[in-house]
Amino acid sequence: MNSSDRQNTPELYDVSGRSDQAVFTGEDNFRRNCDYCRNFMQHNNDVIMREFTLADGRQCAVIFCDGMSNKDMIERNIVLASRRFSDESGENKFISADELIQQFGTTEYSKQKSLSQGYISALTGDVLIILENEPEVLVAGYRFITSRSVGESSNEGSVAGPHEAFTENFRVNTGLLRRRISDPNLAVEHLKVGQRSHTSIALCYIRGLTNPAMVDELRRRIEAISIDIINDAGELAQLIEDAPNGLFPQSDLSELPDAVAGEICNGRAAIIVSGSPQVLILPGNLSLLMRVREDAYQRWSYSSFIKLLRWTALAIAVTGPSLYVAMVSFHPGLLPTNLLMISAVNRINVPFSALIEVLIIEFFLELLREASIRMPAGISTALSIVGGLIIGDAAITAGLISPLLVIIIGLTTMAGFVIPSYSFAASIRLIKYMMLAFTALLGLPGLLCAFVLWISMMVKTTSYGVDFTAPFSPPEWKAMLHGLLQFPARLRTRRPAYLSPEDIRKQ
Amino acid sequence: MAFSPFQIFSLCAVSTGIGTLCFAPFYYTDGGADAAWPYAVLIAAALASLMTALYIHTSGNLGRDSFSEILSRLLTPVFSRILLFAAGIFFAVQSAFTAFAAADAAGMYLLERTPRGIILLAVIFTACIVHDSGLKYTSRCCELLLMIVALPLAALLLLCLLNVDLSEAAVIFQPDISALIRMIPPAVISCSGASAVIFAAGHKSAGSKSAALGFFCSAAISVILFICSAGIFTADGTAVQKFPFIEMARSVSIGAISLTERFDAIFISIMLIAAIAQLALLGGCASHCLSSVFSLNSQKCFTWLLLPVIFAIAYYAEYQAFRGLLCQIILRGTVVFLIVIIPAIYFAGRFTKKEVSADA
Repeated sequence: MNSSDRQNTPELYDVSGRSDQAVFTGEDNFRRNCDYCRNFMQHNNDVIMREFTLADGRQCAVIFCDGMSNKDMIERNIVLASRRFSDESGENKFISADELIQQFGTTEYSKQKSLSQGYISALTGDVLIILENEPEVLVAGYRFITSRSVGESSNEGSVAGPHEAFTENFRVNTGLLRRRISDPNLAVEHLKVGQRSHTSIALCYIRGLTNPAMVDELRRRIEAISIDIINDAGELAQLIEDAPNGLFPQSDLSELPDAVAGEICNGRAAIIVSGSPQVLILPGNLSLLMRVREDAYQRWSYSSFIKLLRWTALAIAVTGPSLYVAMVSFHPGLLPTNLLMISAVNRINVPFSALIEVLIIEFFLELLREASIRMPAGISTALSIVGGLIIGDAAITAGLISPLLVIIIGLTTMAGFVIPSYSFAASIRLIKYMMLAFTALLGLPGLLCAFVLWISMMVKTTSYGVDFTAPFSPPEWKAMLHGLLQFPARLRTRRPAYLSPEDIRKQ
Repeated sequence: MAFSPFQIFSLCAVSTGIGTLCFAPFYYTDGGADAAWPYAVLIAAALASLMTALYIHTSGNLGRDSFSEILSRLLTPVFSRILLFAAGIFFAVQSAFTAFAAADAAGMYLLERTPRGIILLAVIFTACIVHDSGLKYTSRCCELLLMIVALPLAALLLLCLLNVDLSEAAVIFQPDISALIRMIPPAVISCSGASAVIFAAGHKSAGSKSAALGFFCSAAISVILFICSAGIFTADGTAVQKFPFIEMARSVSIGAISLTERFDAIFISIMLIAAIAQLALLGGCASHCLSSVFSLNSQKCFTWLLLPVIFAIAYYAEYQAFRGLLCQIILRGTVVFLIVIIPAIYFAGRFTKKEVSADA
């Protein structure tokens, strides 16, 4: 941008939509439309405007964003094709907008009466075509956004079942979902969120199955969002959930198309956010957050065992360190005699109380966890070795912590990793500290008080009208049993009633 | 407010059974219960079931859910408010008694050096947070807690039964009528939480059966525990213990599956969780009653206003004379609720229904 441009400051676009500009009509409309776009292009150096004359002598301009649209296709299908346009006798003739569209070689096009919306479409990768003496502008889809190809999920590992994962590409993601559910009733509703980002999102559900009241409510909440930018599905989730200040996630995020498709067929809805490799599954509840899609692919007996293991892991992840503090500091008499002696011998040189000891090692672990996430993969492995083995061993040798506590914390951390949902595992980490605080005050009774509070918090949480604790409370016996264990495939005949599906039968 | 049959079951079980687990028989009898205790508890459970069924039937006929609505319709607004205020005080006293007993047990067996006031505060504070969102969520919390404690409780009862010498408990099967009559008032007190259920029961067709099942389940737990306790300490030995069931759990050996040196820790944990749930339910009823007196839609202000009141009552319950007074209030309140108010509502409801029919 040169200095003269800077002096001639362009008009700002009002993101609230108040300055929405309709396509100029009448005399010199082409020039006025182009000038309107040029006003913004002064600062949008990545946006290209190409003006040319059609075969019938009218002026035409194409506007697209460099790096987001396919320039070769635009040149070949729009610019060259429009210039060569002629009738059967070979004479140049008047070209209507509809006839022009026929030449585009794309099935993705629309007519816009709003010039500003057309320009925004150009910024998202489409091509804006301004024609002289036309009351509308054309928007054609020539997007060419590079993204990584469909690969394996890096966050949701599985042994059985499909391995492909969603990518950052919106269209690829909707395609991955559609490939699994070829039902014409699968609704993929496109919505835009973000006054500045204009992020495309797709609300996916099955008509005639998913509770329509829930879908309407979801749509209403999405449309009510007023924010500059949405970068990820997790960000969107926080804006539309029932209790934004609640501790527990009220939706689940998944990278696996089969998991999302499975939940949509259970009567849930999914939201695909452009640019996010994770898809939001709603409504989320305890049962969903503790479930892995792989459970359905394995033998039911093994999956049941794994599910029980997961629930046990949840209990350990929440209460592990607190039980240690309660037993060591308040009620050593509750420990079996041999264990009590081991504990006493291990702690004989530790200068801190059990609580401080736990807090030190938990703090150390939290640092290690955060550091290893932010580091590149190679360094992260080295960091884990240094942190886990060298510093951990040195801390025991130095007498700062007892080996028994290292075992307890190791067990608790592993149990935390067993929880399938990352966001739920994160909230469990916070609950663990609440438990620790109560236990530090009152030992086992304190731990029990905190436990009741945890249950109470979960009971009060709802997700789009569905109780977080469903199907355990309110009880839905069959679904509850399925939440705890895995039914054989032949017995999974009904969808969960707590989701209020329009069609309850599954098979 | 509509409750599912299982919610009504869990409300009944929590409101009566766990109270029995906590206190019976020492606190209510002021010195222990004799061999007639199981029969007395079963009679009290039957009474509670009958009255709850009567109430559910009446509220169904009247087409009303809420106790305060029914009272307002059947009685004059002023009289119904006086009654609701009295009910609020009654539930607050019951809450305080539950809190005192839970804190007493926790203090005696787990936190010998911690001041009782601190334990009391923790227990009451937790219960206040639970019932802060209203009876609906309190009942759901009770429901979930009951599910969580059900399995360990069942395992505990089974292990206790396997370990006791039942021949020692044979005396229970030779009831003495005079002892039975003497035991009925304390047994009624132990089932006093049944009064709370009328706030939740509503007009549910399946409610009566669920309520009866809940009351009898809790009575059965109490009976099994008493039999086990009598099997270990004899009936006379049980009568002199302050917390005979905890002592009994303490002396049970569970062999190779022992995770803890003291098996009673599991029992006390179950008891404390359930006591907090019961306290939340009773506290919720107290707030509900007092909010209805002032026609408030939200009961939150009373939730926290009641905290110091319940704490103060529970704190001074340590004194024998004051505790006796509380027992009298609970006994009379329960009798008035179950034997006077509910039948009165039933008859008034019949009369009112006829009036409506005549108008129609």
